[in-house]
Amino acid sequence: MNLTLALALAFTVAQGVPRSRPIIVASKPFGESYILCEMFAQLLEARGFRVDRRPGLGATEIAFAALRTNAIDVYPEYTGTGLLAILGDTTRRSPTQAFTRVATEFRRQYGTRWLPPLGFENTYAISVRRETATRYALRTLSDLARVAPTLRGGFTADFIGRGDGLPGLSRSYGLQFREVRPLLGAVKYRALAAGDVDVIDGYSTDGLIARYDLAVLVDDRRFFPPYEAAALVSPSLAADDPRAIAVLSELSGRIDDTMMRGFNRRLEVDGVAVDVVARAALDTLGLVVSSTGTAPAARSSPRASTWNSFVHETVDERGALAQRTLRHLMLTSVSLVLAALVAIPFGLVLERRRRWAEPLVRTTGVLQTIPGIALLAFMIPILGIGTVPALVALFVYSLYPIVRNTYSGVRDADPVAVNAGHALGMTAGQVLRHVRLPLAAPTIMAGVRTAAVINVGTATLAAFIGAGGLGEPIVTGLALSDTGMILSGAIPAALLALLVDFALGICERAVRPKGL
Amino acid sequence: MKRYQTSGGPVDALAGVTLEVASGECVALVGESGSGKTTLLRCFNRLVEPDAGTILVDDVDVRQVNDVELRRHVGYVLQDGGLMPHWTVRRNVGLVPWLRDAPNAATLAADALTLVGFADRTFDDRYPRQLSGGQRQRVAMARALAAHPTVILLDEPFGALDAITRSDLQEMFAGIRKRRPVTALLVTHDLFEAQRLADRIAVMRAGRIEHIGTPREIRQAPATDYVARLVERAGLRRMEAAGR
Repeated sequence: MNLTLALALAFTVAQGVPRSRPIIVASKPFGESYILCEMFAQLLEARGFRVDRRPGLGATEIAFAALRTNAIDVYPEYTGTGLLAILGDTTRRSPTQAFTRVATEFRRQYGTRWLPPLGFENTYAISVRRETATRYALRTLSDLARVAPTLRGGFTADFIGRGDGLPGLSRSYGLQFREVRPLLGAVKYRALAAGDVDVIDGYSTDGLIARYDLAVLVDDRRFFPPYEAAALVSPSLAADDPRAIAVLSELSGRIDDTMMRGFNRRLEVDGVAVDVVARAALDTLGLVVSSTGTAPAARSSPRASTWNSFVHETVDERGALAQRTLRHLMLTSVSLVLAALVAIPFGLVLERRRRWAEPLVRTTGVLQTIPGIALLAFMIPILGIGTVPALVALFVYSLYPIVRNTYSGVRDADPVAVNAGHALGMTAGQVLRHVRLPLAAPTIMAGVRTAAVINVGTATLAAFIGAGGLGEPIVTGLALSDTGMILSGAIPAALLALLVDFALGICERAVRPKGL
Repeated sequence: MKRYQTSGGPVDALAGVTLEVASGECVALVGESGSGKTTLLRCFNRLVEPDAGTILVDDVDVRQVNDVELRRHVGYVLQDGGLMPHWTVRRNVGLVPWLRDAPNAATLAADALTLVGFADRTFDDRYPRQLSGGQRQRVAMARALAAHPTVILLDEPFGALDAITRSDLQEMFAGIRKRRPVTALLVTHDLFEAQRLADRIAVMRAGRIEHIGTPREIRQAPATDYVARLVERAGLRRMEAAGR
């Protein structure tokens, strides 16, 4: 039944999309993007549209690749990111010039459309602890350049690698840190607060800047381009649905910096649920009037502790947890079964074609080394986002352990028994089927088991392309800096891996021929 | 009359070997490792294909016969038994009748097990791992004989056994040949075993046959110094002197 589901989804994705499908609203994996995504979604719903939410898509590459190919319809993006990360344009521009430039170029090159900016800017906010700022009298980035050689930087890998990130900034200000560490977006604030690093790359509207009482240094040479937030719309939605465009444009120019910082604080500091924050925001803006008074407050209490948040996600939301676990299991098992159906026969064929075996086995090994996010990003233009590319990626990652173990298992099967088979008149095919294969069965099963355990772990990445599963709370928790939520995905995933390992261990013993 | 002959290939594992074995006869191929005795044996069921020369069984060139089909009609006992570890004794012994689609495969297997001394069927459902070395070798012998081949090839069948077990199995093999006549080619490095079991002995050295003759001829008139030294070392002369 899982297979048919996967195939059905494959068809939905592959067919050209008539506009009868819901509008797919997505976000990138950080708090502000979640809030804006939810605001888009609720606004569209209030105006009578059907909406499908896909929050937390990998990063700029994945979200934009999905949008460009109509796998999603709209997500919040920033003009500076569009300019630098997508167009590779480093010319210095005013906010208005920047918007005009991306609006023109995106429409020309990709057919995607920028709606008028939402009204706030979210630029890089190079931040230090209040205490560091006071000690060294730091107010601007030029001040920072003076003392940088004694400080340790902790930046997102994205920022360290991009020409318009750390390298450009260092050149512009002559910055030279004592040490630079790549940090995940979700942990850099905590690393800074704990004193593990002294400088980080924050975002100017981050709620966490207030939570940790950080000092944001002024970009006095105006190195960073304008980062105005706006809704970025897919070619298909832009072309087919002017009414939806009009609805989304209702938000243009309505959200200023202070307002956005307030929303972010409610989400990231006060721990209010995304849908609640978004509903309140739309209410404040007078765009959607909540008919039933206040909406069901999922978590409107002040920020819960890690433990409380974990309990909330695993006990109060156990239905969702069960669903995610089932979905995780579906992704893992469908991809694993398909991989076994391909990899075991392939391994057997290789045993008969020894000359080709090692190069081909190694090739499947190379597939294994492609980073998960990269593989997912490659596949979006072909397969879109969601279940199908996730299954394909997991399938690809499962091949190597199974092919390797099948091939080695049948090749190295008890040579004495194999020789005896030949000498007594078994055909090569009979030797394979009746001698090599049964003797190799435990080895093959061990390969399947390895693949399965790897698969359970890798499947958490599926959340980055909107395929759901136990990765969902991990991605969201990372974005919202909510440890309890992260654990509510990570712990079940680990338990699932143990369970799968245990179950397949039993299978491994079951296929071991008697007499061995 | 059967006539086997091979002659030298480029590596000359065997060179100019001519050997004729009569129907129902047992010929032992004796020699040190590398003398070519196992290679010669394997030419008969085409596990080794000679580069030149011919091998005739009942005046038919073995290369005229499909190799797989040929092996199903030639019994073979491997040095270390070569039983399928994942099969029961019953299934191991029934292998060749099964491959030949014999309708009475089960009976053939049962008869063969009786022949090697397992008449009481207690071992039928055991796996090779559960047997002693001597028992395994009996099963291997039963497997080779189950389909009633006219020719049986034995490659050091008793080589890995302790002296007492080896002696028991040698006795068993001699008994089987009396009850079920079969042309046998026996590879062994043990001249004592050869003279006990074989009608004739071919002493091989460096891919050639140094001397072929009855055990008595080998003992009394070794053709070369090498054969003489071999006889001397095996202590066969002394046994003869002692009145055997």
